[in-house]
Order: sequence, then structure tokens, then C-alpha cells
Amino acid sequence: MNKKFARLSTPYLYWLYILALFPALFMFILMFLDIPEGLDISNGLKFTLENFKQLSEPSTLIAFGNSFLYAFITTILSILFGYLVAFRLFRSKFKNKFLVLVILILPMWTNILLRTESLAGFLNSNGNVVLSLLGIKSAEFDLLGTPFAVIFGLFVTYVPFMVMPIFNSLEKIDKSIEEAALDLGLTETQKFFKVILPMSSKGIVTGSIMVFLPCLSGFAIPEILGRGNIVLIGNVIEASFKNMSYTIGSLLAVIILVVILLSIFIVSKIDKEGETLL
Amino acid sequence: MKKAIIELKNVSLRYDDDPENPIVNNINLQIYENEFVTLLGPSGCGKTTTLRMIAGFQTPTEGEVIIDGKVFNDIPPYARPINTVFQRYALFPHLNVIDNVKIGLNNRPLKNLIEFFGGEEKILNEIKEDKLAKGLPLEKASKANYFEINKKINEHIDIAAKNALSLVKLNGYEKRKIDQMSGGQQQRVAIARAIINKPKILLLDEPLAALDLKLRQNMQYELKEMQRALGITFIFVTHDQEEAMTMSDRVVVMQDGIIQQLGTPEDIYNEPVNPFVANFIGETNIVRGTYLHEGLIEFLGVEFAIQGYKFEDGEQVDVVIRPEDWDVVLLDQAKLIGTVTSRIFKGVHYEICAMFGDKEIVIHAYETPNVGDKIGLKVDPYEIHLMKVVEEEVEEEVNE
Repeated sequence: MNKKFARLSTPYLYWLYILALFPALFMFILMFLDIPEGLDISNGLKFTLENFKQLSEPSTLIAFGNSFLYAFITTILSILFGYLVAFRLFRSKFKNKFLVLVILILPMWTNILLRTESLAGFLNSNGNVVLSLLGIKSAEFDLLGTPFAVIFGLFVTYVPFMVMPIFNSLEKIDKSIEEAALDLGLTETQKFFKVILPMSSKGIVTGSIMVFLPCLSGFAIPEILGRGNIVLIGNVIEASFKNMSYTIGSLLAVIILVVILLSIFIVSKIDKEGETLL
Repeated sequence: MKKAIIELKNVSLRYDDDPENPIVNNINLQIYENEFVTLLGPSGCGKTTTLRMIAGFQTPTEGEVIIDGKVFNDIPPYARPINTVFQRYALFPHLNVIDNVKIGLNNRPLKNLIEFFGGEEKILNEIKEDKLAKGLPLEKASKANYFEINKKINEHIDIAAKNALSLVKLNGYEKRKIDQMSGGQQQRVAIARAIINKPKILLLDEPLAALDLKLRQNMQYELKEMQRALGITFIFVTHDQEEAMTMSDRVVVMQDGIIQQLGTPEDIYNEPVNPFVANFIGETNIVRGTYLHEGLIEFLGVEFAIQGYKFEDGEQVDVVIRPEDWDVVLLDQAKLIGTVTSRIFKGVHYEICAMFGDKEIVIHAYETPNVGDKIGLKVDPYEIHLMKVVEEEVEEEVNE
């Protein structure tokens, strides 16, 4: 790296320290502190492991369980549909495949809250434009607040993150490799399962982690589409900070942070060159 | 009469967007059993396309590809008794060496594999013997279930894979990853992967192009040896005329999708049918001459005796003389006298260029005349080859 240009990154690095590293460190300290309600610290700060008791609370456990379950289901659905889309695109003779990918990621440039709110309107019977147009008047059609709504919202939001890496890994498979498979007597089906699928597995792993992590830690989608019926760990963290129980919030946030760092570590082990990422 | 294993009948291939310029234009070719045939030509001459039509990756627009007496036009590659060694190897990077070699056999139906390894009776017998050796009573030993048969077949595949690897001298590399192998080693894996399936025909698409000179020469030898030992028909594609000469039983010289000449390496080298073949196969001198009458020809203003060509008396012909066929002689014995314009040391011989009138002649010789010296040449009658004059257009291209 050129030293002259390296210095240009200095301001960015300071922002990173101030806005990311420092808060993370602060949270790490907070989770060991004993801060009574009302933030009354006139008696001085004490270190304690009391906060960890929160982890055995049923509400926390359920939130963690929900988070992992919903993230897992969304990831599986994304793999299935994401692979189909990526494979179809890979196989198509369409010349401007990049255009299709752009259309796919286009909604991501809209604010996630706006998108989720409009999805909520779509899933709600009350004021549902689509249902009105179709002439259906049914209060039973209200899907908002159901697990389906949350999973649907997570899936629609994050499936592009699955399509991209899978498509990239498929694109890297040389045409002659496929020909070699056919030449050696593998049928089209065998070729897919023995050659193409294993060779695109890096893309699946990368995509899975890119879908799994935001599903695990996000709170907006379950909040809006779940109507508070479905609580994920992100909602608990948000609620903790809102209610000024900073120590509990920090503890849960740090746990999520550790999970995320572990996942990134796994991706870097599997996909050393980062070739499936854009 | 030898048996033709592959027959191409009036085969053409043209793309929809450019039907005027076929990639392969009305090819007729017969390839016999246990033959080493090379398709030779410059890039874009249709040789690889021809190979791909035989392999089944491309379907001819017209004509028939006949393998073993059956028309194979619409049969997919996996159902053909053919394997290919690809130009850039096309090994499977997610599998190690031995799994790459085994993939073909591993994915065949069990029934097919039992046939492949000598039939049901033989396999059952082997299982029986194994069991008897373990001390099981005869009654139990003579029955075999699906799993036992499967296990036996897998043992056979293991042995076959090890044999294939030792044939290409890669014993001990079984567990290596593909990206840990050098180019030459990957090449060998690609060959082992193909020959383990015991194809009737092995297609090789410029397999040596990526190797360095020394390795390439070694592989040429080994491929020829392998072809003899295995008794498989090899169809080899290359643009390297030396490679074609070294290995082939017959060479097919192609240009513009058309077969220019088909024959043994000796025939093609010594008696090219047109200036393209003459120039493509090694260096050569082509001069215009006049066929005077039987046994006598005139070129560069001198009359030469010739052997065995029949043309009209007085007809214009192209005379082909290879650089190494000239004899450099003392000036008073020479039939042609010219002036040396350059001399380059080539290792075994010198390459001498000399002007005779306005025509430059290339000579390979051991003598060392200096630039500007006079040089005297002679040529034996049997070294002079004659070709019919083809249209101006083609000739101009060659002279450029």
C-alpha cells in the first residue's frame, strides 16, 4: 500500500475508533457494572457478575431461541429460493445479467423501515390496497403479527444477500468443467449434485452468513411485522436501552457481537480469497 | 481392411448468425481402430470444433457422426464411448486426485459397473472366494447381498484408479489437492481420469499446449507409448506440426474448415498437395517452374531431372524443395549459384538464406559460407516435389 494514500485513511480510522470501537469497548465494560435503576451512581461504580443472571431468565432465553429459529428458517428459505434464482440467471442466455442483479438489489436502496412498513400494509387486512382491488373483503386475511409475516419480511428483505454470492460462485465454474463432467459419463442430474453444487458451496456459506446475521440481530422487521407478538433478541436489546437498563442491553449486545465475529471468522476460513463476495 | 471406428460423413457446422462461413465445411473422414490420428491446423481452422462434434458437445448442422456403425449425432456426451482430455485439463477443484480419477466410474449405475469389471459371475465368484478365505462355510459364501457386491465393485474401482495413476506415473499423489499439483501433473491426472473409463476413443484437445518444451517432448513419447499399450484410438488436436509428426499414424491437415490433406506424417511432409500444407508443415521453398516433359523440369532458369510426376508438357507447376534437401557443393559442380544474404546458427545446422536472381532460397546445411559469398547448390531428383498450381489468391497469401 502506498504510504501517501495510507495517510488519507487516517480520518476514517479515527471515526471508526470513536463510533465503533469505543462504544463496543464501553459496552464491554458496562456489562460488568452494577448500575441501579434510575442510573444513580452516587455510591460509586462497582463491578459485578449480577447482570449475567439475566441470561437464565425465560424471557431472554425465548428471545434468543426465537432469534436463532427465525434466522435459521429464513436462511433455509433463502438458500432454496436464492439458489434457484442464481442458477436460473447463471443458465440464462440473457446478455445483461448484471441488469437483473441490479433490479434484484434495487429495493435495498430504499430505507428498510419504509419497505417493512409497506409490507405491513400489504399483509394487513385493514387498508390493504391489493385486497381491495381484488374485491376481497376479509378480516381473516390479516397476517400481520403472525410468524409467517415475520419470516416473509425477513426473507424478502435478505434474499438478495443470498443470490449474489451464489451467482458469483456459479459464474466462476469454467464451461469446460461442466463438459468434463458430461464427458466422464455423469448425467445432467449427477453433474449438478456432484460438480456444480459442491463447487458453489462457498457461495452458499457466504450467503447463509450474510442472511443469518442480520436476521439474528435485527429488530425492526419483527417489531413492525410481528406487532410485538414475536420477540427476537434485537427487540429485547432495544427495549433494554429504551428502559435505561444499559447493563443488560450491553450484555446481550456483546453476545450478539461475539456471534457475528465468529461467523465472519468462519467465512474468512472457508472463502480465503473473498471471491464469492462482490 | 481395417475397421473404421469413427466416420464423419459430409459433416458441416455453421452458426445461425453467419451461415455463409461454416466453421467446419463438408468433412469426410474415417478413423480406424487403434489409430493415432492428429488434426493439425492453425487456430480457427475448425479442428477443435471437429473434435467437439465427435465428443458430443456440438451437433453438426449437416452430415453424420458415425461411431462403431451407429449414427451418434443426437446422443449426449455422457452416453458416448469417448473420453476427452481438455486443453486446460478441466479437473474438479473440489475433489482430490484419486476422486477426480474415480468420478467417472463412481457415477455409473451398478449394473453397468458389474459388466465393466467382468460380469456378474466373476464378481460373485470373487466375493465367494473372499468369504471362503475368511473361513465361512460354503453355503453362506455362495450368497452375496447388494452391499457385498457394492463393496466388491468399490474395491475394483480403487484398484482401477491406482492402476490408472501408476500408468501416468503419479503413484503416491492420491490424496493431493488439485491446486497443489503442477501443470504437468494436472495433465497426467486429466489423462488418468479419462483412460480409467476404458473408452474406445480418447480425444485430446491440445493437451500439451501449456507445458514447457522439455515436458512436452516427454509427454509426446509417453502418450504414444500409452496409446500402443492401451490399444485405444487417439484423436489428437494440435497446431504444432512437430508434435503431429512425432506421434501420429496419420495426420489430417485442416484449414478454413476443410481437410487440406490426409496422410501419414511422411507423406504430408514429403509430398504436400498444396502450398498451404507445404508451408504449414515445416519450412520450405516453393518456386514456380515449368514441366518440360517426363523426367525434366525447369525452374530458376535451370533444368532439373525429376522422378515420378505426370503433368501436361509445358504446364506451370509449383516446385517444393525442403531446406535440408539442398546439397551445398563447390561452385564448379553447382547447378544453381547464388549470393548468401544471411546465416543463422540453429544448433545442429546453419540456416542459410541466399538470393538466386530475385528469389530467396532457404537452405539448411553444415557448411559455413559468409554473408556475401557465392554459394553453389545441387538437388537430387527424388527431393524435388511438384504441386499443381492453385488459384492466384491462395498463392499470394502463402507468399506473404
